[in-house]
Amino acid sequence: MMLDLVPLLFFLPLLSFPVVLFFGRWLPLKGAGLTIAVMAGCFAWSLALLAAALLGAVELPYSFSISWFSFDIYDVALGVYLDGLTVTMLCVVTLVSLLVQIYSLGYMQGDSRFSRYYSYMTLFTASMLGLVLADNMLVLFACWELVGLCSYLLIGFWFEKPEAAQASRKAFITTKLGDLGFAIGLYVIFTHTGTFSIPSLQEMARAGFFAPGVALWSSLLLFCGAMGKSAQVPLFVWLPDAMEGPTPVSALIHAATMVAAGVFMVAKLFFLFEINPTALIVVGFIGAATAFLAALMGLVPEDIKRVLAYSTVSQLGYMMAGLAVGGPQVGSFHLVTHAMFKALLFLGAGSVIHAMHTNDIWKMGALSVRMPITFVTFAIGVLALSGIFPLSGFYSKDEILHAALNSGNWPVTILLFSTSALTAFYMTRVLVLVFLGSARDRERYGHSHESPASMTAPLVILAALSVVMGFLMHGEHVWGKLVPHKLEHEHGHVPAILVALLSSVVALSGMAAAFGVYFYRWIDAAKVKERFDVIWLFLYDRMGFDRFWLAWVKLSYKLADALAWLDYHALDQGLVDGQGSLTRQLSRASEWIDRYIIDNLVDLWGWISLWAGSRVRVTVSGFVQSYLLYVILGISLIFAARMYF
Amino acid sequence: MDLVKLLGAEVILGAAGLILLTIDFCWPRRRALMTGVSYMAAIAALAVLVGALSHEAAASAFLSTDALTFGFSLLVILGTMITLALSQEDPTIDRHWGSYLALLLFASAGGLLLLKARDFVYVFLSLELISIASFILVAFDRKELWMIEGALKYFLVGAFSSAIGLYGISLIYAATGQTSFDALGLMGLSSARASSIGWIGLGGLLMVLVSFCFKASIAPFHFWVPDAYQAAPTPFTAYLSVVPKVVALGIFSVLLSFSASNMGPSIQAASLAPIIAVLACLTMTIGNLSAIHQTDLKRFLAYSSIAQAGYMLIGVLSASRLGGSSILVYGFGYLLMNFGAFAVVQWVARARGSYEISSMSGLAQTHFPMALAMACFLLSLAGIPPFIGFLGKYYVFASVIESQWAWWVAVVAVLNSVISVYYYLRIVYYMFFSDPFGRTVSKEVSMALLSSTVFLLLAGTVAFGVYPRPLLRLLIE
Amino acid sequence: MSFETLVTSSLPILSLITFLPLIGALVILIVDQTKVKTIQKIGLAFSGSALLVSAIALIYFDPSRQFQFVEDYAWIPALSVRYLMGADGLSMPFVVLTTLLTFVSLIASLSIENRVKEYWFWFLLLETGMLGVFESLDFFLFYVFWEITLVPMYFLIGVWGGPKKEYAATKFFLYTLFGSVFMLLSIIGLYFASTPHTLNMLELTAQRNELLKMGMTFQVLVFLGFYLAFAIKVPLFPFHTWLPLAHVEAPTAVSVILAGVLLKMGGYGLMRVNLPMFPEATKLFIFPLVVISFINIVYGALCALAQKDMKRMVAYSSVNHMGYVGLGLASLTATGFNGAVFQMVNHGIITGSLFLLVGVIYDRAHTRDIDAFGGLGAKTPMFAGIMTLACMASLGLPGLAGFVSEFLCFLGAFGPWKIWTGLSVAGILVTAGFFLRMIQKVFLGPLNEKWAGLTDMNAREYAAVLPLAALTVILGVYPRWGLDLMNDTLTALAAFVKSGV
Repeated sequence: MMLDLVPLLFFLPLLSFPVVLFFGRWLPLKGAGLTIAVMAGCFAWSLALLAAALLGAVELPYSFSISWFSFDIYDVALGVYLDGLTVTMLCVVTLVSLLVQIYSLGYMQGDSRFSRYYSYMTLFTASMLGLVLADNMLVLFACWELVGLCSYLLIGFWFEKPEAAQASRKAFITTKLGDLGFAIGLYVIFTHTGTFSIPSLQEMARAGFFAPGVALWSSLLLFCGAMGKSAQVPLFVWLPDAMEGPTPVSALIHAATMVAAGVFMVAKLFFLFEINPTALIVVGFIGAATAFLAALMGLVPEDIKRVLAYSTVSQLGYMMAGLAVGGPQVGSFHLVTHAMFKALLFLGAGSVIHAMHTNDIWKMGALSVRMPITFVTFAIGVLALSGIFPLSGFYSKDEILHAALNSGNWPVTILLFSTSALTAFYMTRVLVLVFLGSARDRERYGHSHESPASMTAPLVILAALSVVMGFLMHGEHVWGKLVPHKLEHEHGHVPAILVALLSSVVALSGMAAAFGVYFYRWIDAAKVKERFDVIWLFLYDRMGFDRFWLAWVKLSYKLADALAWLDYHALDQGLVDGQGSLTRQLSRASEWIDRYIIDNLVDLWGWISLWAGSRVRVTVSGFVQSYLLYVILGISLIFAARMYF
Repeated sequence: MDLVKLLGAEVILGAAGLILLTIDFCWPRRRALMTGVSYMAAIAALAVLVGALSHEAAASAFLSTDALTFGFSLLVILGTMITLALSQEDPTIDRHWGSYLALLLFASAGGLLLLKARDFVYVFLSLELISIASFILVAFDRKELWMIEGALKYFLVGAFSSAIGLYGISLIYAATGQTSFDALGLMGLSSARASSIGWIGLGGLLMVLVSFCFKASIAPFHFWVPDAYQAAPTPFTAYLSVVPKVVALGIFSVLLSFSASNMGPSIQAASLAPIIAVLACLTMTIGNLSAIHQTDLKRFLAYSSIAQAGYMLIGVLSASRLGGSSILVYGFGYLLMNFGAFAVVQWVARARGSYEISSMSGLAQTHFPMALAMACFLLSLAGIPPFIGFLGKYYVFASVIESQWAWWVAVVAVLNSVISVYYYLRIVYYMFFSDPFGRTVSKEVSMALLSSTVFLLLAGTVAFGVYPRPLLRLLIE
Repeated sequence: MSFETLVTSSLPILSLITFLPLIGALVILIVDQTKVKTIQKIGLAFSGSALLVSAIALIYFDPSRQFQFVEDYAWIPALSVRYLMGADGLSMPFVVLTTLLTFVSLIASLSIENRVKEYWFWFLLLETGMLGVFESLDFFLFYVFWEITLVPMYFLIGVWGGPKKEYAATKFFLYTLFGSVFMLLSIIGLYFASTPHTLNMLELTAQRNELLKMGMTFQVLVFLGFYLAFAIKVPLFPFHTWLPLAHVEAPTAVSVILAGVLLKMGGYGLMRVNLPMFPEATKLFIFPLVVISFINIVYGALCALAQKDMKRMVAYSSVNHMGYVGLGLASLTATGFNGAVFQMVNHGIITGSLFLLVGVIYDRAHTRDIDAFGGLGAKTPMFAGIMTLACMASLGLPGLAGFVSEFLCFLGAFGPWKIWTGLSVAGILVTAGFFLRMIQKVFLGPLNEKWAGLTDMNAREYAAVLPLAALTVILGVYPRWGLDLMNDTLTALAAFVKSGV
């Protein structure tokens, strides 16, 4: 019963979308009431499912499907596939969505398109839940694209801002680029297997149906999609810009849920990735590189949301690397904990922005006094993200680092450890500059105030979860039971306690350094910036990735213009109309011959006669004489032709 | 008795012509009477023709009828009747009404006779009958100098071509001692081999071909057409563009198929066919290309009719049963649509006083039915379904594709029909896309007969296009 | 007699659908031209009843069976021409698409005030022609209907079109005629090649092995004759240049029909004639077709990206979308065929609504320049919403009609043509690029004060667009309704084609 109605988790938010969109203004809280109620219900349900799964009350994995459409001899199903990871994701998505929607009541208050905001939110949640639930690659892909649409709509929610409009398009196109790979991956899989069903594919993989080559191609192509959606290098460029959207949107979509979809997908299809070790190596390197490069880029922005965006990119890379070195159990645990504290951080940042009306951390400072709740919760978020014991981030990061060490993949391991230090550094930088020290912009500081309860309550809840979640869920009995799949490395036996100590030391030293620079000012940050401005600019410039893609865009525009020119001038005007005008010229010539040669052949006749020494008067009958000459010519021609045959 | 049966229609038309001449001489003002006599004659001729259908095919040594002859004869008489109707509405034919009608009937009688001729002497006789009547009729309206010029050109060229034809016949006779198709067919006339009829005979045959080409306005013997067409009274231009042309092509095809039936398949390999194929392509192309730039409606239709003759000539070249029927079907469609187009042109010229293409401007807004009718005629001439012109083209293309070797002629033909659409659409453009012309028809001018003729022809063009079965049964089966 | 037998066997249901509009056109012809309302009512009534009858036919249509509602009468026995009509899973979707789009276009045409009588006359005549093409199974009949569509289209563009209407109309007519005359020669060639001589498309298809005996040259020539006619209609590169011009100059409703139905006649023809009838030539030309489809997709999309005029952009997007169809055809698999036909139907619906929407804004602003607008999203939210929906559907967003069909086209083609399909996928990205650019420039950003007085859509425009928008969503969410209709036929067709190649 509980399981049979799981599709409702998808359909309820989906159906509330048109209701709120079209009739929102007549509903309680302009429609927000409905979507929040639906989301609360969904969350409760998901939580119950999770509890049931942990207690063994329901048997997982569970799958159920109906036929969606069929073509040829194939049938595409519409169904749900529930395993531990899915159930957990359901909880995460519904919880964050619920909290963000509650938070938005305060944040979006008074916006002229309030109902539309909530309808988009609920559409997004529906699509995300669909993505999580799907038992079928095609449905997963469909929902994957739909969350992309919602992201587009919500980034560009304040579309009067040209930057927002631009950013929304950039996000859509960039992720679409990755999705092309995803689509081709689907073609490869279907051409090879004739099915999209994930359980069936799992069976086939288990039975050794996939040749290593096919597995490599299909998994890498699918990974392209994940690279776009989960903002991996080099496709991450859209995510920092996506911060133009409302901050709660960033928290929900661009921190906790949608961007994690790529990680989720890789975890769910891990059976495909692990067939060929090369695939995992690629994933690991891209993940680790993303983690490290984004962490570097996170060092420089003044915009608080940009820092968080880079941090998200970096953490997504972490998760990917975690998947590659440790398997789904390792990678996806960080996904869950990260969802909590990154949503928390974004909402906290939103609270700050709401109070200060600016994103610039250099115009903030000393807010811990004015906004104590926001400060405490934000600090918890920073600590969790930095991986400080015993907060949730510690547990999940520790797992990844442990697996990396065990795998013996040194480049990845080193990158991940460095990232850990960098993360602690830039997060502490934000914390110090925003909440501690002195207020740098007195006027803004004067107007600042703690946010309303609808905004702080979600902060508190998320902070609490960020504290306890790692402790509660880690280990074989809880997380290990939900997501049992973990890569075992034969040669690696690094003791767990050593890893824990090492990572703690790294994180703490990162924090300490940030305190040293920004709080105690042992080193003048401005001077460092001046001294190394080449590097600073390079980082600020996103290491040229933006310009790289922009060059492609410009190239395509140039190509488009050239082709359009060619199409019009060469193909259409030149070839097609050229034929037409050629015919017209011919007709002019033909008419000219008719009119002047044939009609005026008399002149020629006269000329010949002159030449012969006799004059012929040009008369009306002369015309006819010329005809007769012409006739004789015609007859002779035909004679000649006849002789020739 | 056989001869009467054979020549009934011709005799009726000829006699009526004589009566008309007499009436015109004695009572030149009895216009209605003369009109009545001419209609009666045409109807009587039609009756005799249809009556003859039930009898067995009659034949003498020189004259013969068969199924195709019947179809072509029907076409001649219908063409005459339509011309009569159009002529009644043409105020330029004000003098010598009886003579006009008589000459028209003589020309038609000549046409009917030509179709039955199975001997070169008869061919020449009947051709002359048509020609002499036509010479006078083209010159009937002599108001302007250029009209006289056109008529004179037509006369001189026509006489010249007759002379060539006659000379050719005499050469054939000199070479073979025969003038009847039957005998010549046995000798392999149309295979046109010097071995069978000698160089002299071959030369004669080619001269006859040239003479036919003149009558049927086949390029490069078409140059008299625009001037003559422009000069003649419009109803007779319409007649001239249809009846003599179709008849000449018809007898030509009879001549070829006659010998084909005796010679078997050799006709395709070594006959006149390649020359005819080239002539057909040339005619279509020159006609179409020259039509594009015309600004005078009658000259425009003149070139269009040259191109149409080219299409019909394709039917001649395959020299098969299908080829013969294709000329007939095409000719019948051509009768309806070309008379229709001329009728509308006549209507517009009377209503707006000009034969310039621009006088068609905005016709759709002032007289939508008339514009629609004209559009249908033009599209039919261009060979767009579902009009009868398409059926004719289909037949012609089918006949040439059936012959296989000449499929490239079909390619040239379809390319030409694309070109032709361009200039036919130019008229449509004036009628539908331009704003109305300044002058419009004055209310008191009633052209009921003309309008009803137009719509009768339109009905035929559409109805036989959509459901050609009765027509085909009548003409071919 | 039950209603079902009445529909399936007693009534000439296809003729009824086809000729109801023609009767309407003739009735309009005798109405006084000043009675605009009467003319419009008659037109809507007849077109509406054609829609209704086609809907009834759809209900009683059994997808698992071969040709249904067959009508077979001797027409011109001398030429073995028969009046042979029938519908199968390949033609039925197009029949319904035609009646639907025509009805919708006629609603949109209520705004036409100039020479109303003529307009409605030609439009209804056009409907008859288009329906006939999809229903006739005799080549002669097919050709007649095929050409009949040209004439009304010529007038509709030439009289009610934009500034260069005469040029566009003439070019459209000549260009498409250029293709179809070669088709005529091919038809005649087939007729003489068959024993006994026949014009019956089904018999000719069944005789394809006998046709092979005519030799390879014959195969190739006849194939090319048909291909030229169909490729120009589709349009496949390089025969597409008539399309942007015709679309831009045509009035809104005519653009809808042009893109929605007329282009489909080409794709339909390729599937009905070229692929099943000429296996040897197909084998030879299938690779070029793949490359051409690739060019259509990428080149069309890039050309669309460069356009400043919205209508031109949508027109080029049609070139791009028809490339997907070509790819689906070239796959020679049931999957690809399903995708191609479904894509054609969906493209009709989606691009139809896009043209209607461009018409909406053009009627108000009298410009279609993408750069002339800005920020309309706040001013005309409903218009912006529906336009976005249509654009999203066109770029293949899941949940909307274009997605499944586009996906099936690629999926089908990927099996045999991995590299080319992989390259073609790039077209999707460019498609997204130009649609989003258009949305951004027109609807997003700060409001261009010049358009502060712009009003949102009115009732007539809703009546025309909303049914299409609804179908876009319905067919996207539940593609089964579309696919089940055609799948059986197309699977059999693919097997038949495949067995020859």
